[in-house]
Amino acid sequence: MLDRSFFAVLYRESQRAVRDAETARDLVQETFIKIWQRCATFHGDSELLPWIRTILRHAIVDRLRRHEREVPLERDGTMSPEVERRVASLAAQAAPPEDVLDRRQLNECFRRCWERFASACPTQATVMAWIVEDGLSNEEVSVLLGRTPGATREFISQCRKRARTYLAEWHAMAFGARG
Amino acid sequence: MTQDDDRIWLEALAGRSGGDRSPVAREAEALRAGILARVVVDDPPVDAVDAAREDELIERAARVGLLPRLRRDARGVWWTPWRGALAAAALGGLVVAIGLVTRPAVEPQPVLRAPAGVVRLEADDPLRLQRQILSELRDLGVPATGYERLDRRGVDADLPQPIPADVRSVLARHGIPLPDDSVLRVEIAAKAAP
Repeated sequence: MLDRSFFAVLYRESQRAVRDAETARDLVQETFIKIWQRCATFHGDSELLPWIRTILRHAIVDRLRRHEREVPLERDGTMSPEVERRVASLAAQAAPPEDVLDRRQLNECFRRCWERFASACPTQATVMAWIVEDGLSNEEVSVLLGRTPGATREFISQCRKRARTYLAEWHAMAFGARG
Repeated sequence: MTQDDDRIWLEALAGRSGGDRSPVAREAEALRAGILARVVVDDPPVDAVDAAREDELIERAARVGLLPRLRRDARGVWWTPWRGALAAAALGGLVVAIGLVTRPAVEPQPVLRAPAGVVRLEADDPLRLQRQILSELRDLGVPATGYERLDRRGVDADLPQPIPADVRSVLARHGIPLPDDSVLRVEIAAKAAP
């Protein structure tokens, strides 16, 4: 019943994060086992799915960290200070994307850039998607990652820098038409 | 990039820019829109019921000691049917122990669109319907949040544009009309006693 009720939704989340069907399936089953072991700690004062999802997300973060080769930011194709200034300047002049470019073209560019970002920095991309989907705060991300709030702020800063680097093409397309 | 910029960026990425029109907030809002638009595209089809998958889970549970080890060779072929029954009972018991059993049936409910763009539904069990709508939308990659206000249960969701067919189908199944924009707001109240 657990599998039939929740496998699909958890598998999709897992698959989006780890981008591999077998690993995603393994993570969901690992999550079911943990739920089984921890069901006594669920007091019913929150909804079941978010509780289960949190357990899955911990497992995803652990798995991504185990397989992630940390790339130092300075050797990670980070934008030069000049590009950084240019992007900031473009953003300041920005018009809403729908006013300046065909939305489909922009979405396609985003998708392409995001794929590269998610391949290179899976933990950062996954956590950013969770922040968007569930409106996570710094404290909630901190709990999810098992880091101190200070270390989490550093992680968020790293997410922002790396996203800017990998999404530079999309950024220029979205914000650059008036530049 | 200052710490303050990072904080503004995080808040805007989470959908809490609060009208901040700074470049950092706008950048994060655009990023948020891109991520939301992307989410629904890549989801693979998944079978709700998969006997091989369930067997695998049962084996795994047995390996960590959550179920008794079942040895077909030692017990003979007669044991095989019991294996599935035992596991099914254990899995069912777990959900009952947690206290929540999801029921897939959609209960019919009257619908009324309120003037403020909020769709109001009535249901015998508002909590169950709220969970079901949330689950079905999230299953399709639509970011949806649930809330409780006074005696009503609510669902807020950012629908991708254009609204995909499978999302339309979920809304139609629950009798929810398409919103005028990408923001879906549903409130579910208990049906009045006859």
